[in-house]
Parts: sequence; structure tokens; C-alpha cells
Amino acid sequence: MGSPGAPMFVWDGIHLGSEGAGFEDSPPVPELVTAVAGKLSTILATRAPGPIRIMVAGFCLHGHALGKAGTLICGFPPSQAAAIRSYARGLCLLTGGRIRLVPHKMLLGRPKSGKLLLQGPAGTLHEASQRMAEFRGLLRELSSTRMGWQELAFAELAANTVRYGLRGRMAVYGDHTGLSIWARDDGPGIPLHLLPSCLLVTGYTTNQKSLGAGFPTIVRLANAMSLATGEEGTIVLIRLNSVPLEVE
Amino acid sequence: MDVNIQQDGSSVVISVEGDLDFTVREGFESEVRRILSRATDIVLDLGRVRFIDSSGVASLLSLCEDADAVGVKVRIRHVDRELVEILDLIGVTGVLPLEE
Repeated sequence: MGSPGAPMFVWDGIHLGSEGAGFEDSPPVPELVTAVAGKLSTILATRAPGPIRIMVAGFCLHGHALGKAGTLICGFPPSQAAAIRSYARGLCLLTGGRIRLVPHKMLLGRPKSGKLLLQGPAGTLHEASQRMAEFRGLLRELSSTRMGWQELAFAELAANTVRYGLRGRMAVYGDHTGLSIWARDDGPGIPLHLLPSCLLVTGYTTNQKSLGAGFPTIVRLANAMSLATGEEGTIVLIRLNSVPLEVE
Repeated sequence: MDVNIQQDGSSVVISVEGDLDFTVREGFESEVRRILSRATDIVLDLGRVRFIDSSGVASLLSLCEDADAVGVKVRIRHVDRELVEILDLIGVTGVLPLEE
């Protein structure tokens, strides 16, 4: 625990921890600073020059605040790949291991398990509406129990696919223990510095027509989620465990 | 999704039936917005809505905001228990004017 009265740092609504909280025990992962430095500028701008340690998503960042315009210098060679790996690790830990940020190539093939139950284009409203109707039919075939959460997860993914690209596709895989839903769009991707807010903060959106509740809802519903995002668009694969399903 | 509109003076009851989701959002919004100019009191009856997603919720919130801007009161009633569970999960239960 941090010392009483220690400053609390909040980044885009996510509690970052407090100064003095567990610094001694945490291994330094300074690469994370490159992913969040822009958002830390407000904090840094108010601090006197000198060493600084900041907790971000369970990681301890060590650096040196220069005391002007939020500048932070860390003692590590900047490596984008290492920064992204550290960032992905932070996101995974922050969500209890449920969200994995992965390269696109890892989500281009089919999941390791499960039978392909449904697939097709979902980039336009018409296409996504068709997939939604097919998915509802599929749920009725698979179980006599109402599967509202699965329906909700599919709807949120389909809405995102329509919103962020014209060549979106969706697929559903299943076995007797649950379903995996795969969705791909060819939109601009989610900037890494916005990803935690987009995924975890209800009401945060970069799209005026969106409520900003889609991804947080998906995150709450999914037992596991893999996500790849960048210039090639965004791919999401979620796993939804369920009551036993009648998948042959 | 079907929308049935019954007007009694300046009070309007909008009964919705089916799924209120991203597939019908635009149609639903254009349908109910036409009512705003001729009502002072709107009741949204969701008793026959089977499913809602965050796009449907966004439509409801948008309607409430637009109505508030022109002094029209909106109430939402007959919300099924399963719908309330979805609203809870999305995190908007306290934001919508739900009637007990």
C-alpha cells in the first residue's frame, strides 16, 4: 500500500496506483513509458526535476522527470517492439489475463479448437444484419437455453465491424463447451495509447455516434479475448464458455 | 422490429416489439424523432422488446437527450428482467428513465 496522502495518479480514468505503492517489489519495465508518456505529461509537468517512479498497470516505471512540459527520460534504449511487448503484458495483467494483444498473423487462421459454425462478410449493415440473424438461428440450434450473453457479444462485435470498415468479416467456431467469435475490420485500428480506455472505460469513444460501451461490454462478457490492431485494421477473437452445446 | 405509436393529445405511447439493436438503430431513431415535435410526454413501452445492445441503448439515450432539449418528458416502462440485466452489464441502468 502507498503511504497515506501519497499522490494518486489517474490516466484516462484508469487508476494507475499511488506513489510509493509496491515500487520496491516490482521489476522495472521502463519501455511502458513510451506507450503512455503522452498521457503522463500532465502529471510530469507538475513535478519538480528529479527521479520519478510511476506505477502503470502493475508495472513500476523508473525515470527522470526534467520538470518542463511533462518531459520524462528513461534509462533504456527505445525499442518499439519491446515497448509493445511490455504494453501487451501490462494490458494482460491489468485484465487478469483475459485480454491478449497479439500480432495480426496470430489471428488470421482459425482457432486451435472448435468447428466452424458460421462465417461471412459483415462490413456493411446489410451483411452484418444477415450474420446476426444467422447467429441467432445458430444459437437456437445449439441449445434450448436462451443464450442472451452470446447474442449480445456477437451484436457488439458486429456493430464495431460495420462502424470501422467496409470489408469486415465474422466467423463463429464452437465445441460442446462454448463458442469463439472472430471479427475483423479494415478500419484504421485503435491507437495503442487509446486502447485501455476503448476496451475498459464505458463511455469512452472516438466515434460520435457510438455510446462507447461496445468493447467494455465485450470485455465483461468474454472469458478470453485476443486482439490485434494496427494499420491493417482490427481483429478480435473472443471465447465464450457456456452451458453444454450440441455441436457435433 | 416493429414500432407502434399511439397518441392521446400531447401524450404519446411508443410500443416497441422485437430486437432493439444495431441492425435497426437508424430506422428506430428516425421513427421516434418525428414524434418529438408533437408531444409533451412520451412513454416508451419496451414490454415486447426481446433483446437490446449498446446501439439500442444509444438510441434510447439519444431520444432522451433530444426530448429533454425541447422540454419533452420521456419514461421507459415494462422493461423485461433480461433486458435490465443487459442494461446493468452495459452500465446504463441508472442513466435511463426506467419506471418501476
